[in-house]
Amino acid sequence: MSQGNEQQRQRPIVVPGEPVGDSKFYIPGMNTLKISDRFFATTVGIIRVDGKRLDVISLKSFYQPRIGDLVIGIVKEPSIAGWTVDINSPFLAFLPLSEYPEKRIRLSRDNIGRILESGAVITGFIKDASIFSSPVITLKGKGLGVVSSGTLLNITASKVPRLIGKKGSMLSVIERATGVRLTVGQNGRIIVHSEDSNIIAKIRNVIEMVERESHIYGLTERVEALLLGRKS
Amino acid sequence: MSITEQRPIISKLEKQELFRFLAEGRRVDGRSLLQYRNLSVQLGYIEKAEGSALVELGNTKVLAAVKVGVALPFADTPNEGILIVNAELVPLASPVFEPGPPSEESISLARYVDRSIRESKTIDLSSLCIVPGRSVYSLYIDLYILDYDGNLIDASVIASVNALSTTMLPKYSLEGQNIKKLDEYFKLELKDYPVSLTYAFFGDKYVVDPCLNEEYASDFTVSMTVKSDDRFCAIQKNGGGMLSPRSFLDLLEKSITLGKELRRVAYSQIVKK
Repeated sequence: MSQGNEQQRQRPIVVPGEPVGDSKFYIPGMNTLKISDRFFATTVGIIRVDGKRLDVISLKSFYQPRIGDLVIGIVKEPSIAGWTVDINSPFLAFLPLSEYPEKRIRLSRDNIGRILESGAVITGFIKDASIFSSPVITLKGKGLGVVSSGTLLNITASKVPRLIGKKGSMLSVIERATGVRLTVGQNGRIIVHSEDSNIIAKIRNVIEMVERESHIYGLTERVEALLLGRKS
Repeated sequence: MSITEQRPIISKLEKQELFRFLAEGRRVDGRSLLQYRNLSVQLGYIEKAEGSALVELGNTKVLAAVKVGVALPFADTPNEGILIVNAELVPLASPVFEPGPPSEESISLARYVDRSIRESKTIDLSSLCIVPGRSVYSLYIDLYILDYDGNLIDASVIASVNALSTTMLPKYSLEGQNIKKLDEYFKLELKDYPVSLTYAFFGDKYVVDPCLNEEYASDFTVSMTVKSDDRFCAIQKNGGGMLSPRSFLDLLEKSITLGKELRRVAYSQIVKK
């Protein structure tokens, strides 16, 4: 950003090793390292202060699974008693047969590779995530299951909270302006429940803007202006 | 024994979208079926190498560097210099690249680039002889894939030729039985400017310069290298599926037309007008 006004409105970007706070005032949070009384950023990102807690939100990241997260996965392959699922994370998740809804599956009779084929898109909750085993997904729950139509888009996982906004404000702005429903997974995958190429192009532009400008204040207004074709 | 790696899985929704666009004669990223992504070339990117170039084709980024040495020639070509191409698919470029010994894909890429340069006679290898049968120049082209978003072959050929065009060779003098390196350099002369064109096939439809998702979703890809005189010097098909004779002839024609345009952009900094 070369303009003076724009610069003032930006959240400062920190780089690894940069001092970000002092333990007199803050508690070190995500992506920070405490050395004696000071703490330092461990990644390139922006500072977020929540009460006394100070986090560095990285500009780009992969998804770290947490219990209860809604994720959008891509079935990779069937395995013994379940399926391995790509959840856009360094870890492959596992969907056990017992967490597949509705149907009673008999391993001796049913070919589980046909029930969920490679490449199938699913929405599920993370049921279990620990450092000792693969994250476990469940499809049992309202609105969960296999997605057969729509468009799949991606955003870096650390920008998902920004895309959703405070209490879903940004998401509702997008849904209201485009008239389509979006399912946003915490793992950086988004399903747009539409196949209209004009709407998809608009939403792609919004996602690009969120990725590019999430550190600049007033993002929701700019997104609204972009969607409604106004000048911000 | 090597095992051919399987292509990563692309989701059904992305595949459906891709085919929906193809049916309308468009592509997801807004390009037409026979349109290349933006191409940029930076010459002399690495100071320590004798020649180098960084090529960005859309989000695909390839760095080519040329190192020059003196070696014993091969017994069957005592008057010719040595050309060796090596490709490194570094893990930072893509989650699908793993550290370890060279994969089948990296060997295939290096061999194709080698074939494109060697068979197009881009370098006159006989001009790289210092003492016949004893000392010749050896050129090592190292390709580093820094970002992978499909179509490595075309980007790598363009990067290699651009890197070769910037290569400076040290001069040697003969002193008795030995050779001595002088403090003088001369420029490597290029005889041709080949370009590779890669097509991804989806049934009977095809697109040029496939991005990563298109590459993964396609039945197979075909790469063709065209010389400046519109002759072909390398052709390779990757993946299963059948290429019909009609499609093949069609590709030859398209490659000549598209190759002219691509050559103009790719080598704009090095070809004398």
